[in-house]
Amino acid sequence: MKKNSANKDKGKAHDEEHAQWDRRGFLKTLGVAGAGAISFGSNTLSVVDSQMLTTALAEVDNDRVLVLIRLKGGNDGLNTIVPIYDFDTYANKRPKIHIPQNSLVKLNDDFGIPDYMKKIEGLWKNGAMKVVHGVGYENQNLSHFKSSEIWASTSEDSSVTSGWMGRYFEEKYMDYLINPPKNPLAIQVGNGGNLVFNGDLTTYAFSVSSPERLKKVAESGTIFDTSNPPDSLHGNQVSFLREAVNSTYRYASVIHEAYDNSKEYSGYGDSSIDLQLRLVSRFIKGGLGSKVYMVTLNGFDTHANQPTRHETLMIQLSNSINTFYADLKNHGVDDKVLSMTFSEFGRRVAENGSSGTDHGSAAPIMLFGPCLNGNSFVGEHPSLSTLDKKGNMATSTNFRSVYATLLTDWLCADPDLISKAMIGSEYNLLGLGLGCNGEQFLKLTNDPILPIHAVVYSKNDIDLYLNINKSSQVEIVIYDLLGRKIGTVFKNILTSGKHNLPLRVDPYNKLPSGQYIYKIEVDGSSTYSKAFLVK
Amino acid sequence: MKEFLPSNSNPWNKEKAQLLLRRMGFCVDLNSINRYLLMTPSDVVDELIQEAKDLPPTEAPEWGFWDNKEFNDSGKNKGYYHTILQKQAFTDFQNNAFRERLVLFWSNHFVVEYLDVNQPAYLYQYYALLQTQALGNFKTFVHQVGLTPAMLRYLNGYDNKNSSPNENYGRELYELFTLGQGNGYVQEDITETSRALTGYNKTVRFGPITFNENTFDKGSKNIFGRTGNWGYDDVIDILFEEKKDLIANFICEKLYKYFVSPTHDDAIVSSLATTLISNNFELTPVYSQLFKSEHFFDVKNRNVLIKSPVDLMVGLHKTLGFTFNDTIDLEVQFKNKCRDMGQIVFSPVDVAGWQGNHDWINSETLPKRWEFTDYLLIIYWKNNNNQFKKLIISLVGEKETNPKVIVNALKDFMFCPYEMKEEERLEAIAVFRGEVPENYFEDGTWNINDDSVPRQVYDLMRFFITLPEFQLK
Repeated sequence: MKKNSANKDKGKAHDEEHAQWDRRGFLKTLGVAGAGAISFGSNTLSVVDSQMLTTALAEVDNDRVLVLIRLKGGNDGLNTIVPIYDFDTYANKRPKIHIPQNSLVKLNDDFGIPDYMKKIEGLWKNGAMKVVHGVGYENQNLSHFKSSEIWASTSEDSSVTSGWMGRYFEEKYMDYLINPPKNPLAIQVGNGGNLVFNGDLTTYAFSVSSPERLKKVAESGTIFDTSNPPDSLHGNQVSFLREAVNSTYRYASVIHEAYDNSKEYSGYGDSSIDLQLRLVSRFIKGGLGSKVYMVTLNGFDTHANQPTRHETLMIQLSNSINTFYADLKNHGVDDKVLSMTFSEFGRRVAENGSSGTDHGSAAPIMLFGPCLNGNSFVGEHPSLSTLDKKGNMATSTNFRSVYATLLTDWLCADPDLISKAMIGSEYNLLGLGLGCNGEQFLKLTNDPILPIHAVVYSKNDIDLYLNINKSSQVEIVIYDLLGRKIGTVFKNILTSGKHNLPLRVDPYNKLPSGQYIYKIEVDGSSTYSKAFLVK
Repeated sequence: MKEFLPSNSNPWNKEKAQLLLRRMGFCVDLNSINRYLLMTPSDVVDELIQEAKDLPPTEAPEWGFWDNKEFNDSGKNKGYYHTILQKQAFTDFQNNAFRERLVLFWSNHFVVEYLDVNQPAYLYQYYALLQTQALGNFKTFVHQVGLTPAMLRYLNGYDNKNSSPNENYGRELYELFTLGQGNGYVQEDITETSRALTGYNKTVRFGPITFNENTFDKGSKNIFGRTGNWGYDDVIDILFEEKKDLIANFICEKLYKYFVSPTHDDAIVSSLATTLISNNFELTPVYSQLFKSEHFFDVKNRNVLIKSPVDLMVGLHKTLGFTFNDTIDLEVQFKNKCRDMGQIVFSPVDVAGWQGNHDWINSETLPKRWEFTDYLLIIYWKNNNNQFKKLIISLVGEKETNPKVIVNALKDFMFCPYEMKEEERLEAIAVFRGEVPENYFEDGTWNINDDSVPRQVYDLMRFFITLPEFQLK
């Protein structure tokens, strides 16, 4: 169990961030260009040609992709992954809506899927699917909104308006707002109200409200259609503004380029999730380089007539996931893409009077991708008989543990960042068969020569603390957030052991207040960077 | 010029009231709209004009007439006082409607840049004159503004002496303030006029600037063909006697472009000019005629003006009437954010002023327009998210459950009425539905008092402010 006390003061730190809002003149970046200039007080600094440090950092990063598939409305876990091991309890509580045993495809002796989901059986058989049992959180909130918010923010505290991915990106790409990466870090389809990609400073996803809008952007490279404006002054003014918006949305054109750069794969159907995964695949194949995609399939709030409605959705979901991986495999990138379904809650164990189910709690999460290295069920299935007062199952796996595992073992995040991304509760790392071995990433640990480097604040100064295991040639350089070199802190042989090096360019003076990035180069090859703040 | 007389086919309605209020003032709040709809448009215009006329100028600050020594002795730099006045301007924009709209217009006509003037009391006196003369007589306005120490400093009237004439003010008086570039004057007129304007060079420590006979050019001057020992008053008299048609056309065209449309209509402008002349350059009859005209309300003139940064910020704030945490100094926020979008109050880009229209928009300012309007929504949200729900209920009532109706109502309230493209409407509806499961709207689970509603409205507003049409009025 990992205790997460570092974030107790998070709220306070956030307020301070907001207080600085003005001075820093941050741009809002729903994929919006700040290209041109940013005002720092009265000085306008051009950033167009500055070295894009974030981009440089991202380049040494791995090329792994995470696809989050949101099943909006509360997916019925029991009719998705059917508990054969306790089939009688299951069937008795759901006389009208249970999946009969002869309509099940067995994944193993204990669990099966409805046969209308058989399209994903192949992924399971090929070791490209895992299921995590009983995912949720304690004291399940049964409101769609509140629970979606908790899944996104990882906190039950309503004042937290950032999401887990947003906080991760914010910590990882500290100069994002000033040196935004060339390509969007994340793409989100579905409504922008979801907090997943919100940081405290900005939103880290290129976000569109509908798959159709994304398709339009992909096909045309623009946000707004400027053809055939009405022939009037108003029409001219609107066209002018639309053009301005189009040229301002920095990411529309790179999304279009990636789309154009890839070929269509036949086999997708025409459901909304088909369209979304088809587009995601085009972007991945076209080299867009976005790390995370979030797509949404709506309609899971099956209070009535569940069997037909759920079947329709599950057919769409299984078909599109199956096609998606066939498509990626065909292009040779299926091992780079991990997908995960999730939903704000599962549904009640017992059916209601309208052949449906009411809001429940824990539910399975499905993971897809050859990178999973084998099929398996992870965690314990919650009991179908020992239920809470509302008739809901207990949580056996904290959803934050799933997130933390994806960040650690798939996106290969610095462990430091994970505790910042996950707030609100404890989490464990799960064995999902993923790993970061051999992947190049920016991480503070696991390096035999330089396992630790961190900024240490003392009363009067800021030091860089290093623990180096082998005497090496070390160069430490400081950059500002625009990627411009400020100066060299240290350039010499560093003996093995622990060192405290003042982060000063000029030995007699502290750095002026502001955000900087240090870069450590060991023996002219491996480099490590991190942003730090001088108060 | 036809007055707008409401009829069944062309009624006085919400759209027209909004257009009038947004353009004469800064915003459309719900209460005003409802009240004004019960009146005739003509009465509304009369009332707005009368309110503006009756409004006393902003009270003079303690330092409103200080000289440089008093400022130096105060121990604070001039920036401190400039900021006070800029903030005051934003307070006035928020509190007052038509008069402050005119002050903003005239401060962009009789331009001074406060950093060049560099004397806060001068700036205050200039501001007070704009407030006093905005609904006065244009000739008097021209006469007085040229004698404000701010203008004497800014356009070098203060340096214009018999021994060393300076043509700066003489040129701009014709080129920018009354006639228009190259319109009805020649270089010789400027030279001669400048000589006549000499003498305003006397001051102690940049207190009042007064007339000094010894630096006045007493020789004979020939201005617009009239010869005599002309002085300051004569210049203005001769100008308004000799060039009244040109002046009236020039100024009415500028008013028209600011208040109606960036492409001007010769017939309308000339009709306004006739009114200005026949009323001896009293401005109010022109305002009255313009805002009461059928032409002003014409559909083709709607949504054709690009909002200035001040319009955008003050307009949104006043329209919503939402509260925010009172530790936020909103006027400072307005001032700095408008600056970042290209509009520093009391400091237009140059002596010709902000050209407005497309000049306001580029790939730097547009994202800032989104960010800064979003900033306002965020501070309202943080302070009290329930106000978002209250607003929507006051727009559609407690019973409404149709997302389309709600989206339309908020659109009509926040935008100047325009036909939303169907795909945009669908997107807006999707944004408004937000996290609410689709079936909740159909099966009656959702209602407008739900806990989700504040965020739904907030998200919808955040979507709206990024639409291109939000930049128009």
